[in-house]
Amino acid sequence: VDLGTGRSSTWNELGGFRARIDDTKKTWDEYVRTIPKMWTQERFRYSGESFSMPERAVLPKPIQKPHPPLWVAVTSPGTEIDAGERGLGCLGLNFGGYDSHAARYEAYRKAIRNCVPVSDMINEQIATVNWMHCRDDSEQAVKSGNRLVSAFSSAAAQTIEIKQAYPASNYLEIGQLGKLRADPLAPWDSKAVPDGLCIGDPEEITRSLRRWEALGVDSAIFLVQYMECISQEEVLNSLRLFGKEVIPRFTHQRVDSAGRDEAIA
Amino acid sequence: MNSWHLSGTLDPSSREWEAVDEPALGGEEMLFPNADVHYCLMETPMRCALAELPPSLHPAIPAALGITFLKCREGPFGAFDAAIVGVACRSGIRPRHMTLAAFADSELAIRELRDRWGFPVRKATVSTLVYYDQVISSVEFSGRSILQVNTGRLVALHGPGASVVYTPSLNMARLNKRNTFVQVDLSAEFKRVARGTPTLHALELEALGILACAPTDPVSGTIARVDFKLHPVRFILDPSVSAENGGARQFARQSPVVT
Repeated sequence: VDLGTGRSSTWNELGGFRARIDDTKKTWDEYVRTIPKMWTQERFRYSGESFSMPERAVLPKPIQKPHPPLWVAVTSPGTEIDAGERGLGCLGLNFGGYDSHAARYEAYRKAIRNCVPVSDMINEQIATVNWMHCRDDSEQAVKSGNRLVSAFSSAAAQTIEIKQAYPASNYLEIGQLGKLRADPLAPWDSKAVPDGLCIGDPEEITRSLRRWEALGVDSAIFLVQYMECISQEEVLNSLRLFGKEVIPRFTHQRVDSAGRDEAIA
Repeated sequence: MNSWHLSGTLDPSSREWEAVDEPALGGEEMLFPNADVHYCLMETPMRCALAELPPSLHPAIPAALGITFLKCREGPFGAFDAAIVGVACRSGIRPRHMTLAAFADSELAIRELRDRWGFPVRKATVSTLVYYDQVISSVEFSGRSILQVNTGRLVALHGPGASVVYTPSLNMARLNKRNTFVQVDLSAEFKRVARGTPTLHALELEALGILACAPTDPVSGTIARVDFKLHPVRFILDPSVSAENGGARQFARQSPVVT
């Protein structure tokens, strides 16, 4: 089990919880500092800004030792530094091009070297969410992959961004996800497939992953389907081809936390 | 792509639109300096937004109603106050407000806003009063108070956060005898901005062109001192065809035929 955290950038989510929009960073900070204590202390009490609680045994405790790794979704500029300074994993989104991510990953690695971890473990990892559609025929892959990305970005565009609804100094820029909701030049434009996505034939996807790997990305999480915009058969064929042709190129040995050798992809 | 999203359910032909008949939609960009813009966004039940919108438009999620008051002190039409009520929506993936009603208190402003941008403006007494602790805006139409919004608990915004996103309007107009949405883009330079919580003190649904129901929950209210520009119309939309299916196109006013 891993635990992912984030503060949201949509009115649908934040308005739904009647969250204090101006305080989302502060609220997030309190929770990432307290959740590990709830896991690791037999009894926990807390008096804070966002919430307070008398002493309780917070159950169930996680089986993992010292506890599940913590991550934060890194989309808004600067969150990579928040992640690094707290010893959290950096969970990014792989679009917007390779170059725009390089400086952020470097800033994360630099920050985590001097971090004051919020828990008993430092989760120094960069994982990124990417879209994946693999076909022998690159043109066909792009055609289906386009549908995947368009469906996602079109759905994301329907939600109200905080910046559109509630002016606030902590939402100055739309994050990576928000960029999918941003205006193109004309109303009928669909968003172009962004650079850096794993859409294409096995060679192209391998090249893309190698570039992300070179930038310091440790693992990739793939979106392979969205609202059933491509057929299940296409998805399965894409996964099979990816498993057969791409994964073996990234299999290497590492020593896991228990000191065992494991083959990882 | 439409089947993945919510779309409006209104039959555009079933509605008596307050549509401007054959507006010229011509002219250049116009600047309105030192204006106050009181902009309020309020959530409304989704079923209400769906009932207001034609199938070519998607409701914003969550559904919302936008109320904008303009207090123009100077500019090409002189001093005037105006109010615009619209449903937050999406044309394809672009945020828009479909205009339900518009009001202004100056004959010149009414004529120009109708003719240049297709705003379905009607004559009314419109006012925006700005105090340090609240803003009170209202519309009195045919001797009745049909709209009053107070934005209170104002907090001044500073630095780069002191700006507001104003969504382009979609105004229904009759162009070449066909109902057509006219997209109006507004840009603004912000001089000062305060944010607060809007509350409705008067809202007469019928007079405001609201078919379904009143908004329920406040999102935000802002009062901004701005220099704003209304840009020449660039895009028009067919109300029965979505942008994804080619319903949006660039607007080009045909030159008058010289004989």
